[in-house]
Amino acid sequence: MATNPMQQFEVHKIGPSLSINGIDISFTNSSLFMMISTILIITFFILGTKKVSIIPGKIQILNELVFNFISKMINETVGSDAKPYFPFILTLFIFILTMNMVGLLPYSFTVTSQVIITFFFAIIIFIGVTIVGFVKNGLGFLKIFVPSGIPVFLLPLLVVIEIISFLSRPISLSVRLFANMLAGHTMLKVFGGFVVSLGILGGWLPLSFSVALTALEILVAFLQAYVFAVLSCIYLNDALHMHH
Amino acid sequence: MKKNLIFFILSLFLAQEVIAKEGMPQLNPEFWLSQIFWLIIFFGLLYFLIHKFFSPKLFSLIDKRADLLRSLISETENNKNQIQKLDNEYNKIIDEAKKNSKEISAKLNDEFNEKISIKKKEFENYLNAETTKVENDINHFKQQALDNISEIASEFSKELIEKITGTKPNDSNLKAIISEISKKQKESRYV
Repeated sequence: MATNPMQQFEVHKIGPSLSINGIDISFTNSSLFMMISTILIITFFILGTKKVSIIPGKIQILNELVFNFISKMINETVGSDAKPYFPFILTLFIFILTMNMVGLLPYSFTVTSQVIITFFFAIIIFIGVTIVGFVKNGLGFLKIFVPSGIPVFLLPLLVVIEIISFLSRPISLSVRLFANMLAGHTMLKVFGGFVVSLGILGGWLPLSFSVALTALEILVAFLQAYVFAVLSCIYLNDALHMHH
Repeated sequence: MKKNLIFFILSLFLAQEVIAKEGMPQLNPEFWLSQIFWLIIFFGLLYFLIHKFFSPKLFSLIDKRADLLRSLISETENNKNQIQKLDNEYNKIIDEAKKNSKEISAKLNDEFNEKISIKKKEFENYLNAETTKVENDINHFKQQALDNISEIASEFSKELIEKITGTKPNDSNLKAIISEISKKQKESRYV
């Protein structure tokens, strides 16, 4: 049995090698769990929207709960003019949440513990928000780097800080999710290793820690997906409403 | 933060050489492009399905339900107003009916009292008439009796005189004497 807690994050190829123009696009364990998550989400929505009725069934209630939760979150953070972005935010939230949750199952793989995945999400949001900002405000979007009500002599310094802050958004966004998933799963693995190594006599304490940690990780899985979606909405709000 | 600290402390207890040797597999760029490719595929598919099918279907239903609820609330409000209106009308009708019933009752009472007084008066008149008639009859019978008493007295006196004296007295003389006596008696009675 592998004792290395980092081994669970290793990506390996499944099936034959695939490439397009020399770029390796082989199906991996990471891709497999992305696919599983996608299938689970699609099944959830298909079951929920198969027979929609005014008086909803159990799965339809869950579907509506997710829809209303995200809709309310967008309305509160961005406003009613962010309705066109609802499908994207919903997809982002539910996809990250499902990948986080699936990753908690034994012998599964946590896709969101891969920094490239979280960084790709973050960079998409960063680029998207910047495009929306320029489309909506034109060059006026650059005012986001100029805080209002600040003495002129402080402006050069603050503008530099604002630019760094703006550019570090994708890094903070991606590292937050990645680090949380990495730390949580590593800890679970470490405690799992202690249970095995201490055996039936001494393994009860780390086992109870593992159980408590699993509960905590379920909370973290939801919380991180929510934080990712909320921060995306806040960045979108900055682009749409220009608070600076 | 706490979690990261615990993780750090625990990692100190782990085989240092293993961590150093293996490092972080996430930073191995070997499968980065492959992961991005499949992420685009699955995320894109999911976004497409949610954007085109699930979201419009659920949102139209939620809107439809909201419309239905709004219409039901408005209908309930109308019904409530209608009920209020009907209740007011009912109370008004009841008040009017009470007022009318009081008026009718008072009117009927007056009519009844009037009828009763008329009937009473009629009955009193009838009673007076009957009393007068009976009194007249009594007087008549009394007079008749008095008249007959003279005759009976005359007859009785005639027979008595005849038996005592053995002679028949003159009828006219006898009647004159009796009438004279009865007249005197009447006069003495009224004096």
